Amino acid sequence: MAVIEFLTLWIKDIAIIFVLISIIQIVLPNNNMKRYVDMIIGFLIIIVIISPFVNLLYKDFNIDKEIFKKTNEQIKFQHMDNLDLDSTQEEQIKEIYTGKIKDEIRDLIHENTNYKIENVNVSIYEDNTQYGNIKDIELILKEDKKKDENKEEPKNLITISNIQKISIGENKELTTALMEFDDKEIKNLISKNHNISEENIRIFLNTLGEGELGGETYY
Amino acid sequence: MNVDLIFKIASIGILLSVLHTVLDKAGKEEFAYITTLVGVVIVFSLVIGLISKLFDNIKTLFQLY
Amino acid sequence: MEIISIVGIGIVSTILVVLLRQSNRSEFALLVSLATGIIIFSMILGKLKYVVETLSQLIKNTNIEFTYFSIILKIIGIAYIVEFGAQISRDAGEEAIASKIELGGKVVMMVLAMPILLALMDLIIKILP
Repeated sequence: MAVIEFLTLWIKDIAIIFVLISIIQIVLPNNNMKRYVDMIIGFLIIIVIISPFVNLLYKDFNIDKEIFKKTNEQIKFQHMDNLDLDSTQEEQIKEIYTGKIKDEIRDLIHENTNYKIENVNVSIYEDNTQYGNIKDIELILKEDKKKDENKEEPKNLITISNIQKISIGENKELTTALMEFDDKEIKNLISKNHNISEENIRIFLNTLGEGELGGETYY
Repeated sequence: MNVDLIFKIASIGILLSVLHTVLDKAGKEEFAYITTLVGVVIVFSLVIGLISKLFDNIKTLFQLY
Repeated sequence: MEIISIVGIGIVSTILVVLLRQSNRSEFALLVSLATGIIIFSMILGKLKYVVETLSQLIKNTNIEFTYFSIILKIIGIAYIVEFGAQISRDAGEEAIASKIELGGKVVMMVLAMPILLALMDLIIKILP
């Protein structure tokens, strides 16, 4: 019968608990701490005696989980002061990561084409599933004066003036005399290397030479 | 890590106390204090190793990490 | 029989401590008593481990979750360590330091026991209509 089985288990639990308590009380040093250990053992007794009944009423009440949850809350509470540190650390990590991607792109373009990069802006996904994947890349190129031969003429020329750049950092600079540059080669290169589709890469060509007035210079 | 340690420490202690009295009587009290300090530091370093071992054992036994 | 060696060490080091205290070198007396305490404790630790393992096996046979036992074990460990440190300070005459050590131990034990208390409260509240 289920009732008898239930009773047997219950009584077995209680018996073992009492044996446990006796042993602990012998082994424990009796000093000023004894009272606290006694109190906690008292809690344990109460829990063990009552929990079968609660399991009857509310199947699935798992006290182990409850204790675990409370312990986690406690730890979070104790480490609340460290949360600020976490967020600044996260910012720093993000900056380092995007910095590395920018450097890679710079090197890539410098080695493989005639253009020099003046500025790169990379933005990354920040939601949990795609954290770290590159969202889009903006490149501002300048012709590299070292190579003499002109590469192919840029195909699509759209003159855009006074674009406000969207960038991760805080600098919003007005750019002038940029041309949208649609070089398939460069886009191919970047998209292969960084696993990003070509539509998300935008390349601008700065047609001002060095020293000419009328353009803003970047850092 | 056994009984020898106690005897070592005790003998260093007795030695040091004798030294201290001798140096005192010979007039160099500062030297006496410096020697005492050095002796205490040496013994202390021995005991600290022992304490840390003990506490490690307790931590493992009672799962206190 | 290990108990004889424990008692023997205890008696010998008590005599040494008295000797050292008399010659005005009470720091060495303290260190000797500290070392003795540690050595005796280490001798006992092996047997204590056996007791703890037996208890935990006993607990595994019942419905009591293992987390309780581990929390209680931690609290007992803290009690041991605190008593050790506090008694050494008291021997040296520093009652203030000893009571601060004990205070620290009490607080840490309370903190460890809080989750059990809260879970118990939840349990009781669930039962009440």
